[in-house]
Amino acid sequence: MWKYLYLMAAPRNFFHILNPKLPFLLVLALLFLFPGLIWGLFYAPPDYQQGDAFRIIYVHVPAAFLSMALYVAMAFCAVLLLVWRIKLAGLMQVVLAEVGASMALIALITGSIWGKPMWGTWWVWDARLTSELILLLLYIVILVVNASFKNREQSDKMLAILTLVGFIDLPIIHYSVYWWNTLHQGSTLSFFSKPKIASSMLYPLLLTVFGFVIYALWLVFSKACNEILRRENKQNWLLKLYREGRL
Amino acid sequence: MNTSLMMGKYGWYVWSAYGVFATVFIINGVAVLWNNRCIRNKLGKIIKRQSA
Repeated sequence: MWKYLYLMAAPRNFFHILNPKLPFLLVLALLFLFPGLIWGLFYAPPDYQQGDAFRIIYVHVPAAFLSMALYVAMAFCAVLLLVWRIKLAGLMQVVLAEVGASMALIALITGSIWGKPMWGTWWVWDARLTSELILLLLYIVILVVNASFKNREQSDKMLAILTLVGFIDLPIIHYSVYWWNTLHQGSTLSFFSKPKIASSMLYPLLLTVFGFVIYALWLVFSKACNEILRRENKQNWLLKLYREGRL
Repeated sequence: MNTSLMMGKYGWYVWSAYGVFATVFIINGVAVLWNNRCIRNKLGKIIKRQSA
C-alpha cells in the first residue's frame, strides 16, 4: 500500500493513472444513482409513520455520510503533508474541502426540509444539527484560508493544522445522538450492526450511497487533475501530453 | 408503483429536497468540466506562444 501511495504522490503519476478513468467513474456513478433514486422515489413503500416524507433519506443520508468521510480523507491528507511533506496531499485537502462543503450543505438543507413536516420546525439547536453545521463552517473556513494565502506551501501547512484541529467535530457528530437527547433519530445504517430499516427501503439507499460516493470520487479526482493542469502548466510532461492530444 | 407522490401532502418537501441535491450535483459537475475546458485552452495558448 505504501509503495502505491508513494507512486501516487507524484502529480505526474497521479494524473497519468486517474485522468483516463474519469469518464468511467462518472458513468458508474450515474449507473448507481439513477436506479437508486427512481427506486427510492417511486417503488420503495412509504414509511408507516413518516409516509412519503421518508424518501428524503435517499439524498440526506448519503450526503451526511460523505460530509464526514471526506473530512476523514482530508485529515489523512493533512497527516501525509505534515509528516511526509507530500505536496499532492496539500492539493487534495483543498479539493476534498470543496466537495465536502457541498455534501454538508446538501445534508443540512435536505435535513431541514425533512425536519419541517416531521418535527414541525426547519431548525433546532440540537446536538447533531449543530455539530453538522460546525462541520460546514469548518469546510468554509478552510476554503477561505486557502484563498487568502499567496504562498502555497504556507497555505497547505496552515490548512493541515486547521483540519486536524477540526477533526474533533467528527466523533461529536457521530455520537451526538447517543450522548445527548436529540430530536434527530439514531443511525439508520452502521458498519457493525444490522440495518434498522426494511430491505425494500434499504436496497435503494445502498444504491444511492454508492452513487454518491462514486460521484464524489469523480468530483475530487477531476478537480485534482484540473488543479495539477493549472499548477504544472509549464512542465514538459504536460505539454507533451497536450501535443499528443492525450489530455 | 407509487403515484401519490406528486399530490401527497409531503410531495413538496420531497421534491424540494431532491431539487436541492440535483442543483448542487449539476452545478458541481458542470463547473468541473467547464474549468477543465478553460485550463486546456490556456495550455493550448502556452504551447502556441512557445512554438511561435
